[in-house]
Amino acid sequence: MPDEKDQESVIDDVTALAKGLKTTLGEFFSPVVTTMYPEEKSPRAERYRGRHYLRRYDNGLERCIGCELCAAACPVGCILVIAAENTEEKQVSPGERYAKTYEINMLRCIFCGYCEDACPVQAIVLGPEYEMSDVSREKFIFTKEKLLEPLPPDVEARLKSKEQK
Amino acid sequence: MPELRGTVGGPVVTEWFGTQDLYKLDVYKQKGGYAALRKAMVDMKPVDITNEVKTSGLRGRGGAGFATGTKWGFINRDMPGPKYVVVNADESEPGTSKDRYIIENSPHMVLEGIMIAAYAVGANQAWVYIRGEYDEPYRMLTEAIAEARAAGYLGPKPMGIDFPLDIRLYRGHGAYICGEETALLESLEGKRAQPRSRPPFPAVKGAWGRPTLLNNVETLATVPWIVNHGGSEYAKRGTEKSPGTRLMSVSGNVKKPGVYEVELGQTFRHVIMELGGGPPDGRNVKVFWPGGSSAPVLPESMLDTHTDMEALAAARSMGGSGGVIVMDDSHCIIRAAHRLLKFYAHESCGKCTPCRVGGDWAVRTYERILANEGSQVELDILQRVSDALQNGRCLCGLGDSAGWVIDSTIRHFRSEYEDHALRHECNVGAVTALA
Amino acid sequence: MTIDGQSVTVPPGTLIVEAAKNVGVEIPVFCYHHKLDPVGACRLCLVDIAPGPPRPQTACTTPVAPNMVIKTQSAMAVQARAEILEFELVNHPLDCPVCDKGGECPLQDFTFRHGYPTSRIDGPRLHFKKPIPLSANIALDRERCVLCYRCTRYYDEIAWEQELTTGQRGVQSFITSQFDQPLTSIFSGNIIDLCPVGALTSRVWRFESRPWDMTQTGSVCSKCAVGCSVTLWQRRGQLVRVTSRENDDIDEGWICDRGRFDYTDVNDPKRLRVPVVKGAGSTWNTAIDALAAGIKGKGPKLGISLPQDLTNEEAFLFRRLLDGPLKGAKVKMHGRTALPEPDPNQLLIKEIDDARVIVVVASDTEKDVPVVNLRIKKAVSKRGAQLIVVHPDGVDLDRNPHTVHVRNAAGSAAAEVEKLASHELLKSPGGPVAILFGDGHGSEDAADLAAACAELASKVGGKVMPLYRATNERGALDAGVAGWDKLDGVQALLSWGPPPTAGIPSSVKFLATWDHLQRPDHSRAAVVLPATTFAEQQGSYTNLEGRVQFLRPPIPVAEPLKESWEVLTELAVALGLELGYTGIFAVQRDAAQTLPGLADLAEPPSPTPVPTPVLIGPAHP
Repeated sequence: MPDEKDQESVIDDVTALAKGLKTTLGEFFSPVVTTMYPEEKSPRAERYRGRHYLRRYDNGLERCIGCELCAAACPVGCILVIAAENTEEKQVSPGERYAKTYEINMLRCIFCGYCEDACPVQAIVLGPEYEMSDVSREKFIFTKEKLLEPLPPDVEARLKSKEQK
Repeated sequence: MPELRGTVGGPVVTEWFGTQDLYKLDVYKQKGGYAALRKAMVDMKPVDITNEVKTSGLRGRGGAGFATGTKWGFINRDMPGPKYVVVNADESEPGTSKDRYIIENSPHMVLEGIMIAAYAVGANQAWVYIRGEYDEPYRMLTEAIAEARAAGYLGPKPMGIDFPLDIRLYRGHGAYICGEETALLESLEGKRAQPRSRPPFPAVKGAWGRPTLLNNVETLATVPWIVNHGGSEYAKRGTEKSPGTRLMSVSGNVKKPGVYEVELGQTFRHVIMELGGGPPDGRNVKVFWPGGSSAPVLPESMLDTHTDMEALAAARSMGGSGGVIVMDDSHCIIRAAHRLLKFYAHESCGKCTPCRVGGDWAVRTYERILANEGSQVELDILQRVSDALQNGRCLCGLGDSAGWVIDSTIRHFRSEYEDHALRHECNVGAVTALA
Repeated sequence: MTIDGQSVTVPPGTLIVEAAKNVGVEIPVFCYHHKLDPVGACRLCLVDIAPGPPRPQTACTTPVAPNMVIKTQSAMAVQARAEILEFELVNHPLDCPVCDKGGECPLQDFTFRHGYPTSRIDGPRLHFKKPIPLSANIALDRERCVLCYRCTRYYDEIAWEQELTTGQRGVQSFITSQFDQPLTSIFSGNIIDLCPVGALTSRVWRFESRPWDMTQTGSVCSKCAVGCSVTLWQRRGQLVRVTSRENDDIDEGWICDRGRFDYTDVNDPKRLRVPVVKGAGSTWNTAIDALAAGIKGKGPKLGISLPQDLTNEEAFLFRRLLDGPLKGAKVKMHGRTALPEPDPNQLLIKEIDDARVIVVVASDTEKDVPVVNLRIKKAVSKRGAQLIVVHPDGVDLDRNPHTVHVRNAAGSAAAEVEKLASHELLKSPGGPVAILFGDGHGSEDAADLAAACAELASKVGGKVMPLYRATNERGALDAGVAGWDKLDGVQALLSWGPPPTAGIPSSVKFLATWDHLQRPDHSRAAVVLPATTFAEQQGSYTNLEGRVQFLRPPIPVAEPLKESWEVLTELAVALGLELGYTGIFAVQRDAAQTLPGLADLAEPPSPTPVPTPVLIGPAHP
């Protein structure tokens, strides 16, 4: 009874083909999921941990007090903080102490967010940005200037008018 | 003529009080003054004096109630080098004015007591540390000392005995803590008045590192009577363990506030209702402090507590300095405790942590309760602070006293505290004390 | 006696806190410090003692008694300590992130180990103005202060100063300097080490680093001849802090402010790092050849100025040069006294403790040998020694009212010392006599004075200690290079270290300097060699009592800097003397064999290991 056997296998093959094509055809009519990165960007989760920012208070003062707890918490040791004392002439952050130097080596960073956890003043936060490719290693040492949030517009305007005077 | 009621079998310390011009040496001598000193220095050996005081069972009248004779015995009379007698006349305990009463009536009696004590312990120099605000007593003592010097009682050879003796006065500067014996010594030495850690006790290392006998004015004023009449005679008075009489300063909401000499063992009902004349008409006694503000309070229901130290200890209070403060039922116990705590926080010397911080913390907690911001949390804080101030946590007794104020008022008036803290209402008058 | 079930035997009179250390039981303390008298103020050391009243007692004021049973972990004791810690925190600001003490703070540690696990403190805290500069070097933060009174007691008991006190009382108490004037004592820095919280912090180190950023090295101070033990703290190749390191033979844990704060030159960005020949940077070879050419064969026309902190190894190598190619050169050592070599059986610093009478001649010890001055004060105030001072002017030891001060005319100290033999106090001193003498900064004839002191010592049964001033004067004397020559008239000058105090003589035609800092004189120099500092170089110092101590550099020698032994060896080669040393150990071995005074160099001890803190399990109630 070889014929019967052959017949069965043909039916099986056709069924399998139809099954496969069903998926294909189904996908054909379903919406497209591919995003055309980099022209198009997919949304990120609310608590996505990307590039770091150093925040400011509304009055323009830096939040960071240079306590180095982020550096202490960092499992890969990619943060360097050197603190200095605020003076009356140069008040960088509230209180006595501010970070003179704040550097993160982004090549080492594993974006674990421990620094954000450790920060007692919520100065360092991980933002949504993840595109940091560049052409030289040096550029991955993010300095304080790079990390700091821009000044609030009103404070900036005030400082500018002061400079012009 | 001062009130002398309250004693059974005649007054002891106040025996001659009321005599015209008793503060003068002549009058005092006429009444029989300085006979005790003569007897002590001429007829008795120093050790006999100490033994006589031991026999009398006299206990310190400053607050702690330590046996006076035993304290005298701690000082090694044969030890070479200077020894001192320091008299605590820094009477700053709220509600207490007995030392002032004694000094103003009979400064020579105090001096006589000091001289006997100095002779007994072998000290050639005595200091009277007198409260800075006591202008009149200071003036009277100064004059009395000048008189005693002129008469030769003080000087190179008092009573013809080769035992140079001098008494000098030192005025305090208005800190409650200076009444604490070691803080008093520090202050006397010219330092910041902060208590010292004990041991060593002043009897071993006191003023300027030398053996020092520290006694209260009333204690020493009792000594001439004991020397005159014998220790056993004194021991017959009062109760067995707290013999003798003591001066009680009755103040607060009573009709006849004043200083009364009371035989120990009488009830506070007798002291407050009869001697003090009871509360103003239409009011009832709510609470009283049996021994100055430092002693834990007792409610009205415990008026029948006896005045001897054992009975007071059983009532979880103490005889303290004998200042009886009476408060009637028109007053809020929380406000009273808050006021007292403010006093203790203000007077804390700041040396040891619990007293320095605890008092202030309690005051702030009371303020929250009184501002109707209280809750169970505040009550818990008060109880905790009170516990952490007592039982040896502090360097001296001031912290304990602050703790007792909180503890005893909460113990006897818990419902009033709860009204304030939990229900934010003050029900003065409506609340009865829990005995 | 028994502590927490462990039996321990200690000498009578030992305090319970000390006995507990023997068995590794931690009793937390703030006010207690083993070098200060106990006061029992902070109440943190409460323990349960049997037999005794049923309440906790302070372990810091209670001496042990036979068969005492002490429980630090009973419910009562644990709760009592937790409550005290809670009290300490009621007004303590949440400054830990910005506080320089954070990370090495006993208050933090004790709160973790002995405090309540959660904070129950609410409500406002007490505020003071902060930080307050107590002096140019010390900042005071009154909010953080726990009022343990260690600083004021130290000032009172140890330093004999009246500059620091307490203001107000109760919860408002605060530490303040007398009349708000800046502290001037040379011993002020020790209060930073004493402070158990971040109330007193260094302004020199302020915010430089957190404790966990640094590595620490136990080394020796290079500022004077006492040779105190210090800890040098390094971060990112910089010396960021100097603290004391307890060595009971010498300093007992105190150092002076010179040793503590005078280190910032090490990190000076303008430091010399490259050899300079005729104003232009050059290589070491060129520079050393130029130097050799300038000083070779000059004989007595060559002058050499030596630094005061010359190491023994440098002194030995220099001696080889002096014996060989530089024979006849005039040598002047910085800051040295005119005192001759010491008696081999001289007084040791720790022996001052046991002296019954101490005689200090022709020296203001506070300025010359600061930490020896503290020893004298300890012997006087804590052990009842009598003190005789022979000095033309008032000195700081006069603060003790019992000091016998013989005011001599300058130059007559030796005569006064001879008279002292019949002094009332020295007739029957009742124990050893310590005689310390300086040279009156040149006003006395040092040889006469040394002889007079030695004679007095033999008469009254005592020992003498010459008070050298230059850091390694003893080592230089041993090596025979502690020159005292006048440099006037020399034609060539090698100025090693800072320039000669008298200035560079006008006769100098060839000037070479070897220094770590740029100085104005360098513009005249033909050759400028960069030098290492005490924080980078290896070597040893011999202190004024003859003890050889080794430097442990926390910072590596950064190229192109070279270690001094290497420079001296290369210079010797350039001068035609082949020394052939391959490392500093070879120099040390050779020095130990050649010079008897430096025999201790043969076996440098291994560095003292960094102590590990005692951690005992959590004691939360």
